[in-house]
Amino acid sequence: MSIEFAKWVPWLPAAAAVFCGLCCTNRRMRTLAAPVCIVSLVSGFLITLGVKGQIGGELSDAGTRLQVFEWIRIGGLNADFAYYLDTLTVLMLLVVTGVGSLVAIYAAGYMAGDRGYARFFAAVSLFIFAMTTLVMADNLVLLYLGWEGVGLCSYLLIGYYYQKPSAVAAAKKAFIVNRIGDLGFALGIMLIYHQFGTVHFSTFTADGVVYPGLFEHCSRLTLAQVETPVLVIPFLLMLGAFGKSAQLPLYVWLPDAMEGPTPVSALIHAATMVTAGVYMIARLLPVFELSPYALPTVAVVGGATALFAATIALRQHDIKRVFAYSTVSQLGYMFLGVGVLSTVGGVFHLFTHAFFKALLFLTAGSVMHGLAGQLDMRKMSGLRTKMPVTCWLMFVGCLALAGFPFTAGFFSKDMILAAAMDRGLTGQGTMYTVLGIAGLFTALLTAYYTFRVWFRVFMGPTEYEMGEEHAAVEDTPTDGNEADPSADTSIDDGNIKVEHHHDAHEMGWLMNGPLVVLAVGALLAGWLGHADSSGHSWLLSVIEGSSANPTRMVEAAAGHAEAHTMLLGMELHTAMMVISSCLSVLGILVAAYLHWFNRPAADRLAEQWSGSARVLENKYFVDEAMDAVIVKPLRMMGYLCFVFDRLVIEGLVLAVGWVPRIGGLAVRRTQRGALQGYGIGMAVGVAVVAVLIAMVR
Amino acid sequence: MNLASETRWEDLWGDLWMVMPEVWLVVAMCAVVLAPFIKRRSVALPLGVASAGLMLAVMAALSSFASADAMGTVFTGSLVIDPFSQFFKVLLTLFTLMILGLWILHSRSQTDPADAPDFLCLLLGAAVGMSLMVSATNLLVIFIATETASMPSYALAGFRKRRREGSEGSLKYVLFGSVSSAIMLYGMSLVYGAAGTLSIYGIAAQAAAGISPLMAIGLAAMLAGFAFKLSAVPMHFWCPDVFQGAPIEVTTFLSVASKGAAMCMLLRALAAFAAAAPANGYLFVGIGVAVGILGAVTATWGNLVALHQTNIKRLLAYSSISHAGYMLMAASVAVIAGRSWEGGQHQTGAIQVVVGAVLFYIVVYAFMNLGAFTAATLLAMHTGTEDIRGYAGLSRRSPWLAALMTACLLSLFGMPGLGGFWGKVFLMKSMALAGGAGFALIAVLLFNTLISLYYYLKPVYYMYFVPDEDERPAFLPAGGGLAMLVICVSVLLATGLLPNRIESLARGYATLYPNPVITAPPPLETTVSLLESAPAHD
Repeated sequence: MSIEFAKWVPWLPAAAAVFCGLCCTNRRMRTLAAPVCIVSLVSGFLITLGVKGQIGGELSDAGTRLQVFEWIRIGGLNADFAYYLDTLTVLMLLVVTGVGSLVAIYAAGYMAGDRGYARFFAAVSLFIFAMTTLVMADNLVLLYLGWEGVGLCSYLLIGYYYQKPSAVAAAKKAFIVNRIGDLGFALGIMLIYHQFGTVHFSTFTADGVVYPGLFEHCSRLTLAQVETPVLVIPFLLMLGAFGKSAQLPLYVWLPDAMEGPTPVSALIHAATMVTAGVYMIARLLPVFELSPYALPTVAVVGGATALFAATIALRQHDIKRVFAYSTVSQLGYMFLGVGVLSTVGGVFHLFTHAFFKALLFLTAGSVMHGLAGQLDMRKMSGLRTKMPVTCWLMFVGCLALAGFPFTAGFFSKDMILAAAMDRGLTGQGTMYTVLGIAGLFTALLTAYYTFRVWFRVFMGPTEYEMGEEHAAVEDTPTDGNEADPSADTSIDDGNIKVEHHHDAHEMGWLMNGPLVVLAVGALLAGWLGHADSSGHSWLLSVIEGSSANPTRMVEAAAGHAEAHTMLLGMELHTAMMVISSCLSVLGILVAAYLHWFNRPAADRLAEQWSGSARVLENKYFVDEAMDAVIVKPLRMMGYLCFVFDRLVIEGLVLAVGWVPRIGGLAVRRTQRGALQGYGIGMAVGVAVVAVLIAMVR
Repeated sequence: MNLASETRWEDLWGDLWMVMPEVWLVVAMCAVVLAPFIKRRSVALPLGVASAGLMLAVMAALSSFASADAMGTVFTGSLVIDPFSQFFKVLLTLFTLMILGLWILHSRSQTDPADAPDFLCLLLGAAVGMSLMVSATNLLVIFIATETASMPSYALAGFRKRRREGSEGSLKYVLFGSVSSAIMLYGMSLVYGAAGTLSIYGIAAQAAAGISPLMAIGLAAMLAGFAFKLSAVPMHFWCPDVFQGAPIEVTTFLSVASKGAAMCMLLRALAAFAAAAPANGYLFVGIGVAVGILGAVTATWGNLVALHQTNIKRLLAYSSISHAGYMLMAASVAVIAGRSWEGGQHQTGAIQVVVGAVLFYIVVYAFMNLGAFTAATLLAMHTGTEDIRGYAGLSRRSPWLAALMTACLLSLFGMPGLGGFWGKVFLMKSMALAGGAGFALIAVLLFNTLISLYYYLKPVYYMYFVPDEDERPAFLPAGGGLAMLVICVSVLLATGLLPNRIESLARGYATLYPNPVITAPPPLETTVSLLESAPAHD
């Protein structure tokens, strides 16, 4: 398949979004929304597969530019609607459209009977349009468009249950926190334009004029030529990445974002959108490499976030929140990987994480669906008999997240940690060793909290409490079009049957089918990145063929490195694999003891450590601290501004408003029939113009 | 050269082929008047004839792009056919077609069928005048074209004979029109006396040697005539009264077509002057400054007065005054830019940028104004009032109409994503060519944009935030009206999202006929023939 077809990947979901949007207006068409959305996503995935087949062929290493149309050309700013295709783009597209398709299929079952069925799929389609635009963009302006687009869809979908105040608050929080990061990103783009005079990645020729791209500009610069403003750029971009990918200190929005429907949490807040920050740094690695402190900063923030979020996850009781913090933690790993120049590791982890985290969220969604909205793991136990398929699917996901040997998460996490240790042990900074050890410790915590969920929910005696929230949401009367009481019945008339189970139940295969695919991926995807004896892997070739290949710094570091770093008498990679395997198993065993065999022991432990347990349960009181340090003072300032506005600005505005009103009165007086007055006015005007023409030279 | 001796019948015949758009309009005009003899009291027949004539005119104008032979001067240099004029004619005729649609929508039911041919004849007549205006390069033709456009407009403005407001507006229109025509004619006679030629190229060449006081007064008086058609301050007094009193489709027609034609005529004259100026000349700064100040005052005045209007037609009338001001400000740069671009390579590039920007603006302005007026028409038919307070709660009663009207109003303000934004951006871009003075113009434009937001949002405020106290039922406007609105908003979105495409298109059409080479300025003699005209182009 010609790679030209790749142009259609974003536009099919865009068309689907418009169609689904129209479906919202018509009750009968509502059920069409899901099939249309699914078809558009699956076709996008198939096209991507076709494009993947062209790697090495039509799709060369240098990256290909696909122009869709001329967009913005003002002065030197050249931001066309053009796509940049290289291996990294293709990998990201595979993740976005692949996971997107699976989640959409799952959601067709999960969202059935919901009032906003069409609205949901319209937003999901729009999201895929924005996300594919983001990863395919050939310039930063277009990338920013996609970036804001996914932010918008995230906002819309977090606040999907807009009757719930908590959902609205969470949506607002996500939006505002992301604005802080995006401000940095926007400033970074402006600074890039200011410094390099270009915002597009690839070099291209139009009308015989060569427009050198950003990457070429970067490769031409030697480190000695780099000036201070250029050194600042990566830090501004980083701020955007940390906001979107929920890293310290801007991670606070992600756990709250779980207010959205679970498929959204899986797609947007685990598999795709939140990895946009990692993608952006990988894509712009040539820019980040220009500043010697940029990538180490990324590594430190990533490592710290990984550990920090993992500790919070230890004591959360809401299943989705545990997974949310684990997402923050795993994203930290990815940043750590990119930061220690193992872009391969970072992107590899992004790839595997998409599988197992989507799987975990969707199975959590199944549990929630089966128990009518119940998410508190203290109120459920022993569900394996009620939901056997879900139970074992989640088990697979947990294994991968815990980094159990030879699952997907195992290989990718190992690659990142080995890279960090390698840099540490070859004398490039003790910091890296510390980060590596912190990463290992995080891996232990991860194994523990992951299996804590699984053992609590599925093992032990079978007892549970049904939730009420979901049902309550469905019954709440809403306003607007959706308030129509006949809306539900009309859907009942259609293809989708709304079944209200009053007991825990297993999902149908419409929902479990996609999960099986994800589970297979969670088990096997790791082998794609596993290096064979010659040290090559598919994933390595993906990164080496893209802009994310760290060349400059690796060359700089090559001087330090010895041929083979050894640890514990083994080659480093092997040693890390052994260590992390042991830690993973250890974590699982501890979880099994505390949360399956001897649950009272866990409670006793929590009592003994009640102080720290409380701190963790309250997420280190970060929200409260932010409220006191940032929100309250801002509110105070806002109030002051309000008072100022009322007293001073409004007075001024009213005064300004009076000027034309008085002028108008004056005009009106002349306009009341006094035609002679108009004549005089015209004559005076002509005279003034004549004087101007004659006198001004 | 002398018309009588040198013009051959073959040339005239060939020239006729080049003005086919006008010919078709005139033919349609005559046919429309004759229609009642075929079928009495029929509206469909004259309407069909008029639409057919307009479509033929569109095709004739389009076909002139097909070959280079179709461009050039006709009738011994008194008219110019170039991409610029033909582009505007296409726009004008298409726009007139849409006006016909608006007329069917709004007035057909209220018009006596016997009056329909009269209305259509007047509309076509005005269109003929306007399309001649963009081609005119000779003072006499300029005057005749302007009057051809004006006379039917006077009658159109008062077409509802029984409406007092309409008659009052029409009378005012006639009075102001005759005064400004008199001023313009007087100015033309002075200019002719000073330059000894009627061709604007000849006048420009004469003026390049120095502007005499006689010439200055004459040019100023001529500018007054242009300003009247543009409703620029201080020749704008007629505008709100006429716009309020006239039927809404006439208001729309006048607010866009009449102003667009006058703008194009002015651009052609300014471009002729700019091209005639010596490379390092400082000659026409006075004209540029005069036009620029005229534009700045017009824009500011229009916006300030619009702030407190509550009648939607009056509000849009003042808004159209300010838009004419914006275009005037940019047009002034066509002359000033020559000064700031030092070195020989001055104007041609600058003129094309300016003309392209104004042309783009006219296109966008035509559709956003048409959209706003169409929405206002639908609303007036629904609520029975033109007061914007009657729009309360519209977003509930008719969400589509409210959304489409909001889009048009926001585009008029210049909201990014809609065509109006890029129109203003390109105007500012061309203003920047003029250096310091240009930045002053940009500041004025930005200030005006800011204050205009207030009154453009006023209807939006009523539609979305004020609940409807009367609790009127939901209403679905007529399909035709909605279709027209959707077309307008689609154009606005297209120009808003793909500005470069359309702007480069407009700039491509901004190719003006070059000034003919004038070997020696004609001597100033009292014996020159009144018919002496521009040297024919060969």
